[in-house]
Amino acid sequence: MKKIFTILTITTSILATIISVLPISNLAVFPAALAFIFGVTAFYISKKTGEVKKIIQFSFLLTACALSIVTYKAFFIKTEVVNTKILNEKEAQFEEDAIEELENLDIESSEFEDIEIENTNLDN
Amino acid sequence: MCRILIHFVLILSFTTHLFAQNKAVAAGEKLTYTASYNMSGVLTDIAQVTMETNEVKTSKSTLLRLKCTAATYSKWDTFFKIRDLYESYVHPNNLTPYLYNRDVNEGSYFKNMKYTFSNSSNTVKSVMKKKNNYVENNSIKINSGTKDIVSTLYYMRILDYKNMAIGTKKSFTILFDNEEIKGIITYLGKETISTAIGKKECYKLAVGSSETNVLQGKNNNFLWLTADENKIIVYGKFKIPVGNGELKIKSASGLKN
Repeated sequence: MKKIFTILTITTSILATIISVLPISNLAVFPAALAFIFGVTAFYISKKTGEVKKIIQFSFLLTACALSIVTYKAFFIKTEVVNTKILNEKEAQFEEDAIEELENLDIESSEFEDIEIENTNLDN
Repeated sequence: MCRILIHFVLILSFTTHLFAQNKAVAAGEKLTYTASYNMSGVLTDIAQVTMETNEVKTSKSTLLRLKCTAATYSKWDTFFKIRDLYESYVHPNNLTPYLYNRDVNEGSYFKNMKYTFSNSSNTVKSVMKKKNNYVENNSIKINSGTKDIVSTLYYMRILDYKNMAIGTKKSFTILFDNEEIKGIITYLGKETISTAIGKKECYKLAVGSSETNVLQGKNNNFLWLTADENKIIVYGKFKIPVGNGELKIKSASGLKN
């Protein structure tokens, strides 16, 4: 039992650390919470049997680091869009091309009438 | 007698047609949204979606350009970079599309799709471009009233929800990837929600197919449109395999009303 909880603590704390450095860092709270629960359980079971392995304490430290990264990223790193130069250029180019194409289109006056929308109101 | 009356109301509701006139969308409007992934209440912002309108003048007419762009936030750019552009050139009064352009640029994936609508003959000239100079030309026969995805999104805003009964369904036919797709929106009533632009009373709509029974809660795609003259989309919720996708308004400017 002690071994299982120790392995689970190590695995989830490593997972929390990995996720915390990825863009999906917010989701690291789930493995971090699990790491904490498994860690506390492993700690008490180990204490009963007499010896607490250093790896459990290290896992706690790892989890704390992961949570610190998550908190830092959530509060101090701004979510912004950068490097839209190509997109902006494309937008302008498309508009130019579209105007040229629309000039060639025969937009008939009949098309300027109101169009109909089918009302599929059923028996509600 | 009662049966005859019910049948009469049903036939009437099937044959009723509404005329939609644009009183909600004007040139110079800019709506910015954040697309997020929600897993058990933990939100992860993925991309910024912008919906803009501007006037386009040709020698014969003045059209409205409806433009939607999607760009991933910088933190995602190294993993997958999205720079998508969707635009539709429509009539300013009834949002009938004339020209549609879709430019998808997602890392190694590139696709450009252009539709030229001929509304009098109900045909669309489609040009698809892909990587390695691949070009495919098609002529597609469409049903009357078929629109592209962008003009449909804006078209939802010009419907009269004020006089709509809860449960009313409206059908749309959207041309996407050279195929006509039937979509249905169901009006679910009014709801007040908190947004980045304040607390708003909204029209809640369920988006789905005709087979989905939304009133029994069997639909997971919803849109909230402000219950004012502008009817802007302020919130969207979409079911994805694990968790939910969300679209939240960040800012709105240049509104018509």
